[in-house]
Amino acid sequence: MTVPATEGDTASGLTVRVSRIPLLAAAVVPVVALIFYLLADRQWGQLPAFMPAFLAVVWVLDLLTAFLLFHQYVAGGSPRLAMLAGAYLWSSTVIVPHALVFPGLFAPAGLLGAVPSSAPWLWAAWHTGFPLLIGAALAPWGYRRPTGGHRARLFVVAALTLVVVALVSAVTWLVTGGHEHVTVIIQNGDYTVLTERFGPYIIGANLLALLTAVFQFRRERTRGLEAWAFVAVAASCGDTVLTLFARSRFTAGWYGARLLALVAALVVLAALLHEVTLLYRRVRTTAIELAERNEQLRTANSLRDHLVAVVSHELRTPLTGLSGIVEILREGRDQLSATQVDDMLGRADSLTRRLSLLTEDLLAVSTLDHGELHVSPTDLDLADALGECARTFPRNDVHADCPPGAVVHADPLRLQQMLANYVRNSIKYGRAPIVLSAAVRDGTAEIRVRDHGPGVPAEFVPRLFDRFSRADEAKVSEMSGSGLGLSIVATLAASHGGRVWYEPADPGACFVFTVPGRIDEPAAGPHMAATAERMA
Amino acid sequence: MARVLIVDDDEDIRDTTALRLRMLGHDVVAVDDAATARDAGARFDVAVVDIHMPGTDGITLLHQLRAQPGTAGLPIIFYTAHWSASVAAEAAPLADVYLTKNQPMSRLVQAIDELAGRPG
Repeated sequence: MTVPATEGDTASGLTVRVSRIPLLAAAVVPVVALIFYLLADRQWGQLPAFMPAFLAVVWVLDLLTAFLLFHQYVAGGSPRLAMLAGAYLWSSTVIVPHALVFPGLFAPAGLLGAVPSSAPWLWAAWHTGFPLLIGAALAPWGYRRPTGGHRARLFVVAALTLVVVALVSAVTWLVTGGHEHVTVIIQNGDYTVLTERFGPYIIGANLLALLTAVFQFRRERTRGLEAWAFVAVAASCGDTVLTLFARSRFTAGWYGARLLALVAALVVLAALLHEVTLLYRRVRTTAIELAERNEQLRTANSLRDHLVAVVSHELRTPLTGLSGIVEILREGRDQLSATQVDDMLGRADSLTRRLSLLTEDLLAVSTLDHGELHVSPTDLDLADALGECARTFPRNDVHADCPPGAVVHADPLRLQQMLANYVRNSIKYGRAPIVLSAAVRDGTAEIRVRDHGPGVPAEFVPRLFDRFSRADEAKVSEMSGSGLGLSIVATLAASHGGRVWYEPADPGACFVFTVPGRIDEPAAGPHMAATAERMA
Repeated sequence: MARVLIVDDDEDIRDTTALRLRMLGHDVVAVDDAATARDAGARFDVAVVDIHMPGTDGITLLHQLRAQPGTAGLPIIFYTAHWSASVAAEAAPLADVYLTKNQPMSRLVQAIDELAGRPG
């Protein structure tokens, strides 16, 4: 099982946390090694295709692993990755002369002037350098943060490659052209000398690397590649021990050792490919999330532009009226009758209320967006409330018709805001008369605002109570109103435990909201009707 | 004095503007819809048209007046509260004068005087 990388993982260049699978794999290695150890001396005979196929596969796997690890290091990964890459580069490089000098592969006695001991010496170099370099990669040296720039990292890769190639070349020359300087360690396919004289050193190097890897596990901070590098070290140990104790080629132990060598070559590459796949998934997921976020931002931008446009329009219009009235009263008061002056003052009052309602709506939007809407419901006489609303539109034909004794439990300011928004909407899009009415049943007051205009087009009804539901419509004529009013009514009604809906009327449109309500008995006073007559 | 047609869906703006122009001696008719304006347009020296109206907007009305014999040469002032730069870019080149409503009414009066006094 994998989990997302932490910052620490990324900093160490090991990006995937792993489960116990590497531990189980590492535990299987000694079991396999033991089985082959028990059969180690059993001769299985030479399979001509085995050695070239085995060396070719290991060479390709190790080279790919080194390539990917170097890339991760250059991309900003840990220097440990460079060291791990160096181990696999060493393995893939030393395999080449090993194959060239191995008798019977490219020439009966091997190429490069090989002697019988050349191949086992190169094997010894392979199985010493590889675990030691992995051990160095896993050793607890004081690495904190990726250091060096891109060029510096490329330089490190080039330097490591040169060192590896130079060392392998030197070893190759020593065991071929300079073979008289090294001990003969194989005779007639039997490498007992290698096992007995040099085996302990080679095994020691492997055990040192293994202990380093185990130490890393004990610190309980093993991540991804480290864990699989531990398996590679364990497999390399098994490979080395089996090879040495098999004592001669083409025995069961010798073949088993090659199997473990394949495991050592494969595990880190498999972990790398697994990691790449996971990263690809994350990149895909992130890309999709970013695309969605971008779309949301574009929508938010569009809504913001729309809000600025409509608010500007809705502010300018009453301000224009007010400034015109001031201009008229300042420069032409002497020409106006008392009725005309009253009319101007009435209009100024109406325009001021428009500005006030818009301001309240904008504040409500801001408050709602921050989740801070606060309502203070109290018992209100509904007939009074509807009448009060109707009186705030003295220049429009607005009637209130309410059953006697109706009481609602609502915030008085918010109730007026809901009513005013519905009435403003009816004035804007409907036709007079506009009737405010109410019905109380089952503890709920249904408050209706009906006009006698053309009604709402059916296709627009589903979006009627969405905020800025016209934001995507470019047509100038359809951009009137702030686009906030109905959505604010919906939210305010919900904050009172009520809801909103639209009912087509014949003719006209009817907008409804509910708040908690009751009829108080006995109903006091006659059926109330408040009518605000349109002023001339 | 000029014969001025005002087309604006906002009653307060329409009536206030009409009253101010009448006080200055203009002969003013104020209507709230494009159809009435289209029918009566030929009788006026200048039209003050809001862009932002339900139904037929001011830009559409301008095209209709321009296409109609008798009103094709009617000077038109767009008088709008619209903020959008794109709408301004579309509307301003079409009209004789493009005014936003944040400007003082005296600027509108001045534009009417200039257009009404212009040889037709």
